[in-house]
Amino acid sequence: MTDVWASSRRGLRPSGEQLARYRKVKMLPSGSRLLLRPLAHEDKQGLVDLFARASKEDLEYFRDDAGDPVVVESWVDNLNLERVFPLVAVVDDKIVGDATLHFRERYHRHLAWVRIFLDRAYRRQGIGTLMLRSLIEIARHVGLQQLYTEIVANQGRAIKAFQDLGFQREVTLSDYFITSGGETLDMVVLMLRLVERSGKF
Amino acid sequence: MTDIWEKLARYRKVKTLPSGARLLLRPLTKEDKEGFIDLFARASERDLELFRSDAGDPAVVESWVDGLNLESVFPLVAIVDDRIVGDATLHFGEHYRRHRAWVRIFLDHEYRRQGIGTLMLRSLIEIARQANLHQLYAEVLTTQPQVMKAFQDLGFRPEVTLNDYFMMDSGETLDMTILALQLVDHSGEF
Repeated sequence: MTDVWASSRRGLRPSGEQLARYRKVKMLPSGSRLLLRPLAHEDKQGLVDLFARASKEDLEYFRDDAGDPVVVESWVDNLNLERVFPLVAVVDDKIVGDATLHFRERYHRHLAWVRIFLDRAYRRQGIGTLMLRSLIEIARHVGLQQLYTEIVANQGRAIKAFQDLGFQREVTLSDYFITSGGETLDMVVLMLRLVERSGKF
Repeated sequence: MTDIWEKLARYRKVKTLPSGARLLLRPLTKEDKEGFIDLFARASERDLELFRSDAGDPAVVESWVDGLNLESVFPLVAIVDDRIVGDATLHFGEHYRRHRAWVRIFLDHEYRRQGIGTLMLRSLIEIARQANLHQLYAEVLTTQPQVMKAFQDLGFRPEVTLNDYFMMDSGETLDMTILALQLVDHSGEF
């Protein structure tokens, strides 16, 4: 696996410009080349296409209406890597996945929330795990202390993937998620500690 | 649904405080801009650390009033002697979060320990039920046992304490408890 980080001033939070230069390349078992890089303004159509291929069920898991091209376009138009860092997975010039770090401000400035979506045709190949590993690397690089994610409790595989990367279950919130049909599901909140909790007294 | 919001915009609750002063609880309106800015201008630095946005910046507070949309954020203000002395808000969610809201509350120091906060929270719970919500959530620092107890007395249950979830301006981290109030009982469903 090769990756290139632009040089960043040690000890200072990298700028959006520096974050924009992140790259990771890997050969997939299929022989295809996978490129992980931040979303760019030029990716508008590719990102719209990615979510256009999402199933109705997939779309239920989004906080916004990812099935609406106008919504997706607005994400690209308002791209600010210092607020939301979307890492896309590109295979054969097609965006097949999007994993994002949602940074916070003020009393939450030391943590970020992680979200990930992969085209169904590209799941079970380890791409999701690679994307998450990259996000963890980026999170450490920008000096974050914790990463959080929330996953519907019946998505055992996704939960396991996060746990394999070190995320710990913090809590299961009953009925925290509601489907478009009005059914409620439990949601698990997981956390990855990037900085050890010091022995406070 | 529009009828509900029109009705909620007219929400009013009046109570006489132990001091004899009259307390009015009602939704924030655009006419409250100056009073709202004044409320947060009286907040201490320590108070301001607990806000998700810079409530000490008048421009930020103004934007809250300018962008007022009760179906997105429902701010209930407490008025005593024609002055806004408190603000308790319901932050509604969308999509898979549309059945729940987060609760936040701020009270002028001078008006604490008089039961106003509890009254405001009771009103928000009432409003949440009228808006057909299933759950309310709140996050409270573990260093605020009084606030925690106020929520628990209203039926909120601690769900989890997230260690080091809150970072002060100084960089010190504190633990935060997430509490939930179930407005609809899903138990026994199959």
